[in-house]
Amino acid sequence: MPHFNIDAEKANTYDAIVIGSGISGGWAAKELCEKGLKTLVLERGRDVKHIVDYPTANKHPWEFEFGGRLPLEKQAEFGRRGARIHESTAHFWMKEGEQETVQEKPFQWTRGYQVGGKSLLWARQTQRWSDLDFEGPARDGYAIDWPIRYKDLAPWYSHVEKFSGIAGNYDGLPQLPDGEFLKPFDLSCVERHFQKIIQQNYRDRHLIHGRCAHVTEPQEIHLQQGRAKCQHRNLCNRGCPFGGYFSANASTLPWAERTGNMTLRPHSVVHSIIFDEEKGKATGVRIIDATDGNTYEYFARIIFVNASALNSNLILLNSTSSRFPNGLGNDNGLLGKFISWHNYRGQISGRSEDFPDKMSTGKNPSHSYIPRFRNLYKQETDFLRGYAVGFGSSSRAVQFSRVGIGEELKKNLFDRSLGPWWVSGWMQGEVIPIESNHVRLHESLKDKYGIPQLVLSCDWTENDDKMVKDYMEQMTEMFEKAGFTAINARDSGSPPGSDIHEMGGVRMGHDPKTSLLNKWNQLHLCKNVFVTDGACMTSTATQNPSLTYMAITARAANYAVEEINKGNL
Amino acid sequence: MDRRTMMKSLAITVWGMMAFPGCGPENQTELKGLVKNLNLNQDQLANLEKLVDTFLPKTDTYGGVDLNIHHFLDKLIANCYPEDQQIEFIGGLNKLEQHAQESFGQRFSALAPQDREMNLLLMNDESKPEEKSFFEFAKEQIILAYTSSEYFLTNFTNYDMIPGGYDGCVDVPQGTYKI
Repeated sequence: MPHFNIDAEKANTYDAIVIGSGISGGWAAKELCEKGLKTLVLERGRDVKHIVDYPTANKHPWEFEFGGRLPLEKQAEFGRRGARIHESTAHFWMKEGEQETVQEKPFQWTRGYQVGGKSLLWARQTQRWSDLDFEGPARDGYAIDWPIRYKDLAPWYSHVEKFSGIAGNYDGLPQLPDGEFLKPFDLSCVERHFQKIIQQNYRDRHLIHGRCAHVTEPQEIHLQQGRAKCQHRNLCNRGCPFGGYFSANASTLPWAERTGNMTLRPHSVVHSIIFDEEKGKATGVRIIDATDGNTYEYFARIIFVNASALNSNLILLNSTSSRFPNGLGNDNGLLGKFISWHNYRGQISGRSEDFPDKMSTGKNPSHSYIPRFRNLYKQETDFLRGYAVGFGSSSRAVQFSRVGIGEELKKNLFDRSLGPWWVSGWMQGEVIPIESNHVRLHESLKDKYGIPQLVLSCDWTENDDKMVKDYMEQMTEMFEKAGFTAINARDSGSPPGSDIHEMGGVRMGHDPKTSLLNKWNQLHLCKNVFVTDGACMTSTATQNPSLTYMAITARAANYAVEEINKGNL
Repeated sequence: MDRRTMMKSLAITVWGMMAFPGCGPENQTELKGLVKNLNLNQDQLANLEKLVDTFLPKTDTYGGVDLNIHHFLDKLIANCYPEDQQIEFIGGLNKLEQHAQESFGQRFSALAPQDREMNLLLMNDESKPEEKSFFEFAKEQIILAYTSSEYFLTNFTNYDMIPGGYDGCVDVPQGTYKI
């Protein structure tokens, strides 16, 4: 980093610092830069430039040197998972030892430590919350009341949807408000059939087109970003050279860069936020440069924390001062508590023998979706809240026999035929935030940068178990009504975090006694620090969370700029 | 497919041969240190080639050896599988030779095709777990290599990296079609 200025502090001073360059950090950077703020974006991983750094994006299966399998030395870099990681996406996986943790209870923490974060790897499903979700905690008596309602976020949902490009169908469902949609991906014969069966048999259950962040009809705003129509390659997680789906790399970050106001600093592992006791506010961020191990400090008027939910918790917990000995803004001791996630344990599969004379062509990068139907308007089960269901049946299986050797085997390999339509469903359940599900800093263990290790202490509750049971029963019934066969409903027993939707720990609320953030995502006790990633979530609802993080971030960033202009920050 | 297309397809295929010119036997020595191989002796190399040929011989379509799958397997197992599995695999090749000597009094690589098949099927024996596991592993890897080859995917399936669309419910075409 060229810091040749004599006045190092001045050279290291920006209007805003954004910690993290993923889905939410990219949005903070875009909004702040567009409004003219000189913005430093800190990313702990390496840079990933759109297209340039997608080395496998255009590789055919036969072009992988070892058929996609990693050589042993590469496998070793990823620990036990190594043998299962495909060469096509290996460069976006976090390496073993990068950030060690203490799992007091099993937790699968997936991290995307590179520019763009997990926006390169996400499943791209994007649904709005409704007031049935925002009012959930108050109605059902768990966690605390959200300080915002749907009307607060609705314009910001529109704002981020138009820019990102969301494919979806206008369904008119109160539990899943419609957005600014591009045309949806098609449903298969089986999905259309299942849709009809559900409609005929249930009042509040609906199967709809998945809503996803793919540009199906490029608008002017997408062309300006240099993004093109989704080409249905289904190779999204290698990075998309067309920019067919939304990633920070393809969309928000280059947009921010074009303003001339963004400075992106990769290899910047954030140690803590610097709090100035005299000024009574945060003044900057302390980082460790991953390439040289040195500590650097950067300064700004406002700081956006978008390091991913658990890492944002870690940074705040590690930001101690004599004013805040337990972590920044943590007078009430609730920082790191009420961690929550989504329950993906319920799975179901089967097949449809129907439509033998039908097939699909091309590829479907999305799937269909059943919004939450349990306990929508009143409590009706022995568990709180409910679950949405992802449902997939995009194509028929291609089958061939592996029997025999020699000419017989060879004939079999060439004798390919269309098999049944496979169907599968996966649960996306709301997990109720409870105080005992928490993260905290370990008293003595440090990671390789000398930062305290995060202790993960999260577990399922009886509510989750009951919900899985209900999912399996209800889905089996729905599958049976649809005439599906070979139905297999099961509880995967996966540990918390497998959903990659971890949330909370720095929750929003009305009252500084029971929450960390106000309705604008400012720390109640340190107003120039905004937390707008998954850490801010008061409850989880059942929707895939990224779209809500985007909307919350854009809203908070614009508020921050207004407050600066008013002289309040 | 006419012969010209076939030759053209062969020229640009066989497991990234162009991108990585190391599959021909003449290149084996200069490769060392760059990408490992199993350091097989001549007999084992010959057996590996014949193993691939026995599973997928040349017919009116290319055989596994035409696609250099024997060299690919050598490279794959040497670089991507732990040492105990490498040793097991080499042991399997030796066992193949041992069976040939015991049952036919000849080297495996010298057997007539039908005898090679019979010899290989001796390894497909539930009562000998190690041999069975070699048989299954080799078969699966050879099928996988063959069915992911450019030759197979582009000539005999509807492989299309950029479909550009998705229709979820269309009629299955009449007559022959690629899937």
